[in-house]
Amino acid sequence: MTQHDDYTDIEELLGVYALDAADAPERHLVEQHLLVCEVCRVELSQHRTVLAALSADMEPAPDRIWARIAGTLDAQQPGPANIIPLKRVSGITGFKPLHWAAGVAAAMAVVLGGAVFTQANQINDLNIRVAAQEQEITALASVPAGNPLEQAVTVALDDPGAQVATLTAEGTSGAMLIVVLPDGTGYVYQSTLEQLPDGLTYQLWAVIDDRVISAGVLGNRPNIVPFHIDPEGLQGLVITREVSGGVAQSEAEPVVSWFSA
Amino acid sequence: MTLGDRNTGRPRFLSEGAAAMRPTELSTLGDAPLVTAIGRFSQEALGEAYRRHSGAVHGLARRLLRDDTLAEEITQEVFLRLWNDPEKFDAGRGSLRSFLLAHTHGRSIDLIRSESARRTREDKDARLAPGSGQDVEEEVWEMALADSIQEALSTLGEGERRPIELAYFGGHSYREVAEILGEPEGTVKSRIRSGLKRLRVSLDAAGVSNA
Repeated sequence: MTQHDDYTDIEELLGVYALDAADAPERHLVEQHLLVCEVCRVELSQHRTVLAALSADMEPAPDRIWARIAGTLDAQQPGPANIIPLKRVSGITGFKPLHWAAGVAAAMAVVLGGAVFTQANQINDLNIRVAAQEQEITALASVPAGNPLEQAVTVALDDPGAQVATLTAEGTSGAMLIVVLPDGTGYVYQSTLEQLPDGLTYQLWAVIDDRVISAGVLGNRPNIVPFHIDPEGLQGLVITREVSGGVAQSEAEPVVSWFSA
Repeated sequence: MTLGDRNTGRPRFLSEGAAAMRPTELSTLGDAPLVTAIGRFSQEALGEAYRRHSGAVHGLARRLLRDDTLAEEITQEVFLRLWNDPEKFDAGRGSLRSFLLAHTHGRSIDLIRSESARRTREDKDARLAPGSGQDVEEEVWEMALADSIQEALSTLGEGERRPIELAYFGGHSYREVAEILGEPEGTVKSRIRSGLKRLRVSLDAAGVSNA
């Protein structure tokens, strides 16, 4: 069988795959193919949209289901409801940028439970590495047109008011690129962080006015992930490694981070 | 807690930022920011997703499983999965509704194909329509679908419509569909795909495919 025949066979399976009517080996075949074929991903998405339309007119679900869901969430609640405020860093506005970044980073380490973040004398080294990694990542990055999220990133990067942050860490080669627009819309758009095993996820935290707020979970192999934050008072962005689903408060050490100068 | 009084409460895990949006603000959010808020532990955001889509999710599960208890379990599971793994939703790959319904369908089919559920379902088939499993799917189909969707379906020939009905609402594999209809498997496979494509064109024309 030729490559073309293989491709045609897989295309033919997309309809039955969308209907969950394929056998297990065929499902596996399609899933492997979908990882590398944008055309087929689009077709599958279209089939699923059609099938969703077929299910569009239904009676409301009973309230008791929501009650059970809410009960499960309450049972999962991991401790105090609110994010613990960071210890204020006094005199922040009078600090030179590097000292200020070190101050916030030290406060972050208290909340995130790590000792990772940082000494002021490491910042210069970090800045040098950031520049090198930014160059490396930019070279690796390609933002193809077609996918709406990719298009959104392209538009965001063209926005003169956008802020691009490169998240890095001492002693690791992984990095993550994030763009944040003036309205607070942001995208993780490039990552060289290692893929995490199933059951773990990367989680993004924003440091805003000295407080650490979850900005979303990114999955175990982040590609393009949108998020939204309050852009006023944004001081830094931090990635931690968490259990799948993320946590309300992290006790993990930062994987990579960025602080505004 | 009911959906109604949920809307008066504060978010469980995060009291600040976008995740603390009021329900009126949440109701205006698109899929991607809504799921982002869910990712930030906003129970209100999950409640909004539930308000928008639970009817379709529960209705599909109920239609497939013909068992209220199982349908409720599937509905609960689908929304808890959204809570636990919001990053699995990719707004670039389709709507939140189609994402949730794809999961609902997949999990329901898993159950249908498990032995115990299959027995229950077949018992109910037998009670509802003795001697004709196919008639049950036909009946459910006719009862549950809106006029606009039935109209779109009517544009399909019997050869494309029946395999889609049997596979999607009947929970049959395409090989089983081929056996039921007495058609070659390859023919059924092709007709399902071409039928879905034709249906998309019809639903687009009717303005109902943006689910």
